[in-house]
Amino acid sequence: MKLAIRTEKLSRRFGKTVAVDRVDLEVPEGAIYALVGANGAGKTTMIKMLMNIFRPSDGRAEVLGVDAAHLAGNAFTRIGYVSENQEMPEWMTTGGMLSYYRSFYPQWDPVLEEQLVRQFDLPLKRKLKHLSRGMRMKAAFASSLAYRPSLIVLDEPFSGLDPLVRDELIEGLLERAPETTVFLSSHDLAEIESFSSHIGFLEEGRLLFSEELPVLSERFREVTVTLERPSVLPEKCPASWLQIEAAECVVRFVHSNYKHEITERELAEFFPSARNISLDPMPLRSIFLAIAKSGRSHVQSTANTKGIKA
Amino acid sequence: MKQILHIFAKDARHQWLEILLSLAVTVGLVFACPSRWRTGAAGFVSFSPIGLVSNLPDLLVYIVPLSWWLLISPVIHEEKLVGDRQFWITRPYDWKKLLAAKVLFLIAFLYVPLLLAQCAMLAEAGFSPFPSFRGLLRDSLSLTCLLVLPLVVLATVTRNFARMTLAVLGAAVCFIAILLLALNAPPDRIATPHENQIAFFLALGLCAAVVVVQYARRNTKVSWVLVASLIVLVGFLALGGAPDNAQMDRDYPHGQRGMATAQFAYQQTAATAPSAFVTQRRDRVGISIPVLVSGEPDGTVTIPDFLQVTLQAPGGAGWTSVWQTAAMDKFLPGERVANAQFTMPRAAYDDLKEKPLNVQVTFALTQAHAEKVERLTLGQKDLAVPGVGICSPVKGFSDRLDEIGLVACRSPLRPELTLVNSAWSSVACSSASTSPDDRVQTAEWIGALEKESTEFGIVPVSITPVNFSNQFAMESNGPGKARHLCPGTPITFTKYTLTGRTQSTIWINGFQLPRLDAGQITVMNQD
Repeated sequence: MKLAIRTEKLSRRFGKTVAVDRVDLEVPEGAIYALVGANGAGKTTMIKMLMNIFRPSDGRAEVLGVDAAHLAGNAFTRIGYVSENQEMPEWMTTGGMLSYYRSFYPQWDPVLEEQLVRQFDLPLKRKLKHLSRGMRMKAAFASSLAYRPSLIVLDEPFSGLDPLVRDELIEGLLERAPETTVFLSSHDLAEIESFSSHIGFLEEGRLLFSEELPVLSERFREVTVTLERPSVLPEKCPASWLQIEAAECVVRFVHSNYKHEITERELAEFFPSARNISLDPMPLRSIFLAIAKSGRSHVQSTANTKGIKA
Repeated sequence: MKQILHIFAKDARHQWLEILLSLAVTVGLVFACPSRWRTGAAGFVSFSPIGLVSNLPDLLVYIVPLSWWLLISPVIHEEKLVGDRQFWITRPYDWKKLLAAKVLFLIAFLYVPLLLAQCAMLAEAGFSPFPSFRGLLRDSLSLTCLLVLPLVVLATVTRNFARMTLAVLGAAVCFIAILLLALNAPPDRIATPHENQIAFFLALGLCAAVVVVQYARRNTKVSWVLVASLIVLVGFLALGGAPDNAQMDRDYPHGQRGMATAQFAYQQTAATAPSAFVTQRRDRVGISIPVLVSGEPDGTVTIPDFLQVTLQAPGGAGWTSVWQTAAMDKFLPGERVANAQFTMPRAAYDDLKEKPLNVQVTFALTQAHAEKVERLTLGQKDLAVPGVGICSPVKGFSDRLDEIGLVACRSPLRPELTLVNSAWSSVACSSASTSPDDRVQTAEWIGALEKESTEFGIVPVSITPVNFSNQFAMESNGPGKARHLCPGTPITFTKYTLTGRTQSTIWINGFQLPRLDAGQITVMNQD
């Protein structure tokens, strides 16, 4: 498997604050990888290290086979980077900006540029400083897609955009997806769930897990056990059970390592007096809430037992 | 090259207003500057605060660098180097090409217009620009080091014009503080010509390092450390210790072969006795030792630059000065008595004043020789003086407005070291009874051996008044009577060029430090 991005113990400190803590990450080529986490989790710092905007305090990163610390100049002809807070040459018109960037990229595709301009309905003669936030993002997208980059890195690209613009951008992105790798960060799970192929969860600078989205969805189940009579919970529950709640005859928890037959057998052994056991798939949002609420130590132990990256 | 031109074209398109402003100010200077020499005397009494307001050319000399500031800041900040949100850092910019584009911009819109303006000013002043071309390039280098590069450096370590303005103000405060400290420092601080050159290139190197570090690595912390080092270096050069003997021996070698300079000897007579005086600094005492200067070879001049004094008392007590600036005249052939002045700490003076001393005074000397003599006759019109420029008689600098009281020379760049000799007339030039007996010989030095830039190196024409000595005849009562330069008077310009530098020492045995006259305060020229 060829990797578009690979990091080894990548860390970044700002004074005494650890923004990114020994992150090992692998993004396969062709993936749409979503790095999620709460605000301040270290997503932007992580991306800025990948783009050689920040230098790591420790560890290293490789982007398209190039050491991220040496990423500069021509290497960016293969990378498109769009960030919610990136400055733009405000004085330029949209058309002027596209025209200015054009000569930097030997593989710039004027046909695709035209197509993107049409698709995003970009006003070519309007100055960037006079564009709405959504239009600016669309202009940034167009200027980063028109040269068919091998890797598109997006830092909170949909933050603060109305659903219509967001859908337009996602659509534009997905049309390009087969020929490129997409690495994006977001704190909004709902917006990335529909199109991401891989997902990584960053909390307080640490990558709690990183895996394919279907695998993740398959691994988590909301378990509801209805007992014959009120019963005491076993003292030692498996580490893969998160957010255990018990009330009268009902026990609820999140199973973070669901495997159809093994799990059912395990539950039957734990709750021999169970009248009913239901195992419901969880939306991504609920999975993350469960992970976040159950605390890092719990998840780490789960990860360790199940080989999840932590 | 394509990327360089692409970025350059973008900058030129965006900064057209700043470019236009800078060009307008430069063109304005070209048109306004000739009034400095057309108005005769008014031209060279210019750098006073009143002159600044009333004299547009002088004002423009200051406005031109300000317009550069407005030019440099936006062009560097167009692709700013501080921060992590710039659009260009994740685009295929090659830092070397980006830097080259910025340099090209400065060459195209700062240096070339300035060079053209300077050529135009030289032509307007009556000089061909071509012989001065090398000097203009040298001035451009000084300008780069003193003005352009520091502005570029501050632009590269700041994120916008407002921050850069703060940085410029901060740097200005630092330099003013250093200047004030240097002015109040004891007269120990001197810089030899070589030291100045080393400092110049060191500062240039540090500035260039900041720019390269910022463009190559965008490491603002390291760059600020380099900027701080630059300020410390300037402070050290301004306030640091005097050069040591090894440095002086390199710059002023002993026993220069083929160089016979003036001879110095201690000269104590009733009329020429050593004296002590209080200086502006209460903790230091000034000492003046009369020396007889003789033996200067014909056609040469000796200029004492620095001196060092050692006082040795019996029993081992003593004091040795650092190299101090020698505030002495230039010595032409012939005998004359001059005063070698130095200052010493009050404590050392009190310790040694009662003791017989062996004194050693070492002079660091520069010798120049006459290379070219131009003998001309003063008239009502301008005189073309090779090596100097164009010298004009100026009326109105005496008690009669119709008499010539001054000669003002305008030169391409700075005039070279030149001795100007002429003769005053004691009676009005219009008087029928002028005779050779009414003539009083007079002389004045203009120019310098070292090539110096004129007014930031912006205006390539310098106006030098030849302030001849003895303009006023002393009378027993009433003000002195003014003398005049009459048309038809011979005026000689002798151009001197550097022969070499050396040291000369005199020894005085049994010297007694003079008693301090507490009431006398003499301000020594501390350069």
